[in-house]
Parts: sequence; structure tokens; C-alpha cells
Amino acid sequence: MSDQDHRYILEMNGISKSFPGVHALKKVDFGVLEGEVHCLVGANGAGKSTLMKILSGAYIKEEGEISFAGRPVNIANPIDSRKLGISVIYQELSLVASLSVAENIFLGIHPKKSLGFIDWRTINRRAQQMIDEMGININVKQPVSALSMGQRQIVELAKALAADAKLVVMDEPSATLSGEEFETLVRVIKDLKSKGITVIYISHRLEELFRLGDRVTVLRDGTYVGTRILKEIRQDDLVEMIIGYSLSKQEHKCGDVSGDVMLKVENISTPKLRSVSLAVHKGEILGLYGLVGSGRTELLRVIYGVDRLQTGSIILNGKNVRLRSPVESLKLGIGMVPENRKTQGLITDLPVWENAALPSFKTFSRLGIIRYGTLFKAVLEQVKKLRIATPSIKTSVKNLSGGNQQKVVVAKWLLKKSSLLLFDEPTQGIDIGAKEEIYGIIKEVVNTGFGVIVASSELAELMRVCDRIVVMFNGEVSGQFTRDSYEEQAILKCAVMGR
Amino acid sequence: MVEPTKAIQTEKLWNNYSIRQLLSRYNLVILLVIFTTIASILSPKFLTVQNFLNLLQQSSITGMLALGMTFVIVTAGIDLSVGSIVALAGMVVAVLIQDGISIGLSIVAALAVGAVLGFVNGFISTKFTVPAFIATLAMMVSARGLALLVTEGKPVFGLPQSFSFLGAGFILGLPVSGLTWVILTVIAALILKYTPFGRNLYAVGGNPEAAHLSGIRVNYHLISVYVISGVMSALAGVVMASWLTVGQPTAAKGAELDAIAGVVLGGASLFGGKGGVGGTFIGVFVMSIITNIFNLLGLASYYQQIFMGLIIVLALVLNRFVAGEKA
Repeated sequence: MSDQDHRYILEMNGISKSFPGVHALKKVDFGVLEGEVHCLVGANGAGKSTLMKILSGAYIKEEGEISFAGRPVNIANPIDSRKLGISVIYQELSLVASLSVAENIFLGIHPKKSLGFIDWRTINRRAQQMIDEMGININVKQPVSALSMGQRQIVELAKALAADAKLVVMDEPSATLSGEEFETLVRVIKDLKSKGITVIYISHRLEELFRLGDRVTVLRDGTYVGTRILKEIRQDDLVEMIIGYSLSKQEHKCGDVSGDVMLKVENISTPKLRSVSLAVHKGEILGLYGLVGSGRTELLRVIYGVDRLQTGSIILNGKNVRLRSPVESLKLGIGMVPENRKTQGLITDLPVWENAALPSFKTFSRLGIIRYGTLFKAVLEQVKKLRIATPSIKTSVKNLSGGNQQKVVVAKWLLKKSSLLLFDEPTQGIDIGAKEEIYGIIKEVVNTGFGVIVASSELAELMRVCDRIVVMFNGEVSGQFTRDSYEEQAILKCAVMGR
Repeated sequence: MVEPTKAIQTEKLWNNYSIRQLLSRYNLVILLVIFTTIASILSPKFLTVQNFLNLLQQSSITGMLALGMTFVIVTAGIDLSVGSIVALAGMVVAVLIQDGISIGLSIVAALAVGAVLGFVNGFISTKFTVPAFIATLAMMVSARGLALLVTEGKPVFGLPQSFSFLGAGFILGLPVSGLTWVILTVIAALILKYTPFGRNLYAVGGNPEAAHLSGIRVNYHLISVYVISGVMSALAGVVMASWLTVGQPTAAKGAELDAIAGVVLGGASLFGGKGGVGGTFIGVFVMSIITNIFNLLGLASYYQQIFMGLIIVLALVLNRFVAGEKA
């Protein structure tokens, strides 16, 4: 493909932006051709979001030029950007859940009748038409709150189309989607492309880029690394561009299942689980694989005492325990790294030290008074051990990258001296470099005598890290594999068909 | 092993603050200085120890309410019932003393009433997941009714002189009520900063789900703050009755709004997780100084109310502006 066939719809040249203490973007170049799906990748903190926020007018650039459709433009606020036909869809969607799909699509641009009254009939008709054209089955009169995450993404796209967007930016749309929903999204994006709409697609899941994208631009540490045509580049090379060095594929030492049984779960049933049994040994990483809705998360929640079990028993270190709340499971040395670190794992406004110390304040108190000296020392030790990149332990965790935030959650349990750690989707939405680090940490932790359960929907990761994999289907355990019997096809079949 | 992306270079626990950060950190102090300057220009009597002690005494009742309210607001709650609890506690203590019960016991009984009503506030808003706004609004109405019911609406006069020590007495020339407020503020500040209970309140206010998953008993903490607010309100009620030597069932109407204004002026966020009693102390004090300025100017009370509203909003806007936060 040569550039002469296409013209640039967007050119950003020499863009710089800094925040107090951080040089977020250093003379970054970014060019997008009209009608392509252009992927933007980079580790967390590489500057993708900052670049896109400059494009959307949320941030003001300090240096550099932007031209759109061949003309130099000045984007000083979100309205400028929208007027140009740029529409950014953030991970946290901007839909109003209580309003109808149709109203959301035409929010702010309501077609009106004479006298200024809103033309509801036109709104509903046109919205339904747009949704139908996208080939999905939604009644536009229902409230957005009734839709799945995937359907909401589509509604966001429809909203962008209704606003006459020429360039749509999607920020990690797949992070919250199931496999099937993702397929629909792929179809819709291809459909947009055929209509001449340009898409900038941000994602950490490289397989997706190769399926969806035409070209890819890589950023690293706020600098431009390069732009490649996806058909002409291998995945490993792309990974190297992203992390800046070649990835050594170290093997984990083979399944050590010889340790004592740490946790034994027998015939647990809840409304969503049916007679689940499994065991975790000391020094073992147990993988929990299954499709969305298979009961992975629910099982972890029961073990952690968040949800009650109806029948069955949990045996921890040989003792039958009844866990009625995290307060109790925590005391017994169980820690959980939940699925959503921003809403469940962390209190984002609070600083690193406080998030890490949250469950351990009592341990660091004498006579009910917190001993800050000892506490800070212990936190600093974990920060160093886990290599958490933060300017200070007094920095709010909201200012850290996803990978570092996740490490703070892990630090919380190391500080608490938990012995059984439950990880629910530990690498969701974090970049490859940080993923490797998180898995490195999990392995280290296990080698010091912990037991670990990792629930994930990324089988390749589990196969690489875990000593054993338990597969769940429809609330039941549908299969068990030890490291020597790993076979992707068989595990997948178990997860999809239950056998 | 993968290399660390960025190592931590510094062990320094406190960052160097930029001027903007300093401004936003101490903006309240700046406000305090501004209003003090204005007041002392207007009247030479303002910057006297005597006037300062008067201010301390005048602020103490709102100050105690705001102190309890700070705990509630840190957890992202609100307590609208404080004014009514002031009145009820004042009635309880007055009636009991008149019935010949010892002053000490009567005060304890009044505080207990505050604790129980606070507990009910917390219990209803957590166990039945009624928004705190509604639960405490209901309590505001009911507690006021109770206060009126005690004597069928009649004030209780003729309390003994010995009872007035708490509200109107002096120790070493310092007003007892103001001193009580200062001491309680110091204790509260220590609790919020140096105890697990205090730190947990910020966690619960910042993100209740994450707090729950970190093993913090969220409901326990929420109920506790309403109990604290209830007890502080009752104490304020006792102080007020002692000061006026009257149990007045219609006392402290609208006091909850003054308390909330003081807390918010003091830098707390109504969304929870932020704020402290030190800020609240200054916030309440600033409001008293403003009233003082109005009085020095001889402004009629209607105008006072109008300007007070304006100044509170302006102060908050300035706050946001300096902090560089978007609303």
C-alpha cells in the first residue's frame, strides 16, 4: 500500500505535552490515513491516552501541529474537536444509563419539530434504522441500562455516527467484552470502514490488532517508535517495538503439586455454582479457566467470603472454616486481587501507602495508634520489591499506570502477610511489560510458600503460568489439566462444551 | 526477569510542594488571614484577646456539630438531624435537672439520647439502604417532634446556676465551651490521622466496595460516624442549654446547614474520602469572623444572611480555582 492512494485525514506532528514531573509526550508524530483502521499501541504510560486527549481537546498540546483533512486546525476544547468530526469513545462509556438508546444516540442533537419541540418519532425511527444497519438486535426504546457492555459499545458508535463523525477513536473497547460481543464489534468496525469512516483503535490485545487493523503506530515512554503495516509485521516484532527489548520466554519450573494441601473446596453450591470441588497446594499456581459467566469469579468470591455458600465446605489448612465476610477470610490469610482494580481493588483518591496498608492498619498499630514510621518503611519495601513505579508513596494511585496500580493491590496482601492469594483477571487492561511483571510476581510469591488461584479468560497466559488448570463451565468444574497434559484444544472444548 | 520500567529513586516521604500546591493546601488559612485583616481594619477591637475568646465561645456550638458532621461527610454521608438532636438533648438535660437528677447524670442521659438517635440514623441508612439524606431528614423531623413532646412545646426555665458552667463558665479566663471544642477537635484530628478507625473512614468514603474487599467492616464504620455525630449534637445541645440556662424545644433550627457549610468550607468533599477536622475548625471560625464583621458594620441580619451565602459560595469557588480542580 502506498501513501499516494490515500490522503491523510489526520496528521499530528511534533506533539509535546508535560505534566508536573512527567514528560508525557515528546515530539510525537502520528498520521492516520482516510478510511483506515489505525491501531495505536504502547505500554501503559506510553502516552496513547494523552495523545488522544489532545486530539479530543481534553488536553492542550504544548508544542506541535495538528492538521485534519488537509487543513491545519487548532483544537482548544472538546467542542472544536467534535465540530471537526472527531469522536472519542472512552472505556468508561459516556452513555446515560437511565435514558433510552434512541435518546442517547441523539443526545444534544435532538431533531426538533417547529416550535422547538423534540421530534420523538424521528428520533426513534432514525435510531432504530441505524442500529438495524449495524446488524444487531436492540430495541432503541429500552433504556441503556438494560444492555450488555458490548451492546453499549455499539450504541456509542451509533452516537458517533449520528453526530457525523469522520474519525472515531476507540479506547480499549474490547477490555470489557465477551468473545461473541467482540465478533459483533469487529463486524461493525469493518462496516464503518466500508462507509469511509476512519477508526483509531487502542488495545493491548495484539491478536485483535492483526484481525482488525490496517496500520499500527507504537508509542513508548512518550516518544514515537514507528508506524507499520500490520500485514507486514510479525507479532513478536511488534511486542519488541512496544516494550523496547526482546522478550525472553522463560519457562516456569514444572508443576510442583507436592506441597501440603492448603485449601480444599468440597461440593460448594450457590445459585451460580453447582457442587464445585477443588484443592490448592502450598507453592502451587492453580489456574481457573472458563468463559464469561462460567462461575470463575463467583467461585473466588465464595472462597473469599464475599458471597455465601449454600451447601458444601471450605477447608483451609486442614480446618473447616465458615467465611461470612472478607473480614474473616482476611484474618485466615486469604487475599483477593479483584477483577476491577479501579472500582474494587483500590481507593483511587488515596495515596499508594494507604491503599497498600488498608487491611493491615491494626498490625502496624500499638495501643490503637498507627506507627507511621514502621508502616512507611514496610510499604517502601514492598514498593521496591514489586518495582512499583511511583514518584512517591504519597502519590494518589489514580496517577499510576494500570500495571502499577495492580501491583499496589498485590502489595496490599503481601503487607498483610496473606498466604493464599486469589487473582481475578490480574492482567486485564495492562500492557505486556507489566503483564510479565505481574506473572513474575505471582511466581515469586508462590516460591515463598503461598498458594495462588488465578482466574482468567486468557488461556495462553494460564497455560504458561499455572501448574494446574481447572476448567469451569456453567457453574461446574468441567475438567482438570496438569501441566504435562496441557492441550489447548482440549481445554477450550471443556470450557465451551463442558466436556 | 523483566527490567523495571522506572525505579523509585526517592525515599522522601513528603514531596516538595509547588506554590500552587501550597496555596491549595493552605487556602483556608489564607481566607482566615484575609477576613481577619478586613475585620481588624474595620474595628480596632477585633484583634483583641477578649474578642477572640468571644468568637471561640460563639463558634463552639456550630463547631461541635461540624466536628461530628466531618466524620459523617468523610464517609460520603450527610446528617440533617443534628439541629433537632441539639434541641432534644437540651430538653432532656433541662427536664432531668429540674426533676432533681444530678447534673452529671443528666448530661450523660442527654448524650446517650444523642448516641441512640445517631445509631438509628446509621442503622436505617445502612441496613435498609435508605440514603443518609432521607434517613436523617426523617430523624430531623421526628427528633424535633420529640423535643416538642417532652414539655408539649414549652421551654424549661430556671436551671440552676451551677449548670451554666459548661456553656458560660471560664477556666483560667478561657471559655469552657470553646475550650471543649478545641480539645475535642484535637482528639478527633488524632483519631482521624493515627488510628485504624480513622483511616478506615477515608477508605469507606472513597470507595466502599474496595474497602469491603479489603476486610473493612463498612457498615460498622458508617453506623459509628452517625453515633459520633449524634453524641456531638447532644453535647452541643447540653452546652446550649447550659449557656442560655433554658431548655428550648425550638432551638438550633437550621443549625445542620451551618455545620455542613463549615465542613465544606473546611475543605471536605461531599463525595467523601476527603477533609479533616482541622479544616472544619477553621471553616467554622471563618464563618464566625464574617458574622463578626457584619456586626461591626452594623448590618441588618437579613443582609447578613444574603452575604453569608454569597461568601460561602465564593470561598468554595476560589477553593476549586486555586486547587485547579474542575467541578
